[in-house]
Amino acid sequence: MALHLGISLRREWVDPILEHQPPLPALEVIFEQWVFASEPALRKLERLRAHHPLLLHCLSMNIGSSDPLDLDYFQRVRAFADRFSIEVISDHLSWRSIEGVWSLSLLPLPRTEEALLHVLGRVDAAQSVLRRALALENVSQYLPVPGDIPLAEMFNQLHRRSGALLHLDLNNLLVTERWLGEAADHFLDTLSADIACVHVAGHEEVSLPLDDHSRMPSTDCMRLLARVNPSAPVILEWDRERPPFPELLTAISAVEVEHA
Amino acid sequence: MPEHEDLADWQRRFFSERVQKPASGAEGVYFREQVYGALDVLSEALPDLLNALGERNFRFFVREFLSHCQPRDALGTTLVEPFLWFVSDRPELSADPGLADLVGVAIEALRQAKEREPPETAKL
Repeated sequence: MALHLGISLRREWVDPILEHQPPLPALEVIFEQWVFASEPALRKLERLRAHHPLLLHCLSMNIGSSDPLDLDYFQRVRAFADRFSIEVISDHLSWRSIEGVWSLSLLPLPRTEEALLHVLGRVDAAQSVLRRALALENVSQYLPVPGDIPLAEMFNQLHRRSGALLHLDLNNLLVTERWLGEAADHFLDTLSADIACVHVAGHEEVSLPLDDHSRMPSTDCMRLLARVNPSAPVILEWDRERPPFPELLTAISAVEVEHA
Repeated sequence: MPEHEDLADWQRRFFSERVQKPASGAEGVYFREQVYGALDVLSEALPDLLNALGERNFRFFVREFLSHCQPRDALGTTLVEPFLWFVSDRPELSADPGLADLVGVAIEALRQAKEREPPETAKL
């Protein structure tokens, strides 16, 4: 059966994919997990590239921070994307550092005109180095932030004014809905930005969930996916409590049959 | 944000109040995410220490560590070395020679890796 869900690649899954060549429509590569990889490991990635389109997902562009942009980081990203012929490069509409001290979390950005203008300037600079449109992902937000620009409108304006694309994370919309009551459906209703890629994932079902990517996508997540019906690649994220690769493929097939 | 506060001021305050400070409930959610993130990085880098300490103790050490230290590079990879030094200074190790040996071995392995590899690679 041809699979419609791609996966966010983890290093331990490289050899099983090379060996069994499952019909995965796309593989998402986390830049931070490969930036210092050995040459033999990178050659394996080249072999994967021969059979699967790759998307590049980054964690450290720090696009919303007040700290200076690290242009060396962007140059490394571009070199990596060039080597593997990757067109879609994404990171998050968030910030991670202040005065050089970094958070391991993706922190929420105020919904203000000041923040929007700040990000627009940095997206322009980033895209000049990357020589591609940058896709930005909506992050899980746990606490309120200042400002009254709706999140979808932030992405709409970024797209309209800089060409930045949306990397739509449906699970993050659901987690944010649980914490802040911002309806995921309303986000989709009011969205006009072009979508470069879609993330689906699951989280532990507790009253206020963390975005832990610890299981298959929920029924709600797959319902939102059916609403979006994107032509862009759909990527399953699974970080915590990852299953062995054969079980992952079985789970993907099962969820695709259930939601066909 | 308050009228007198610009984006940088707000981010500085948010970081100080919500990321660096342990707290319970919703106020501590980003600090707890730090712990989860560090657990992922450190448990993958130090599986022997994780097994020796057990997940609960390992998590305790990571949490204590993050109360004292935040990463200073974008990739978060320099967590490993300061974490090992932090654990090596804990009083619990003097009561457990086997654990102290394990931490010593990990520190020595890291030192050798840094001598062997170019600096960028050694970050991992």
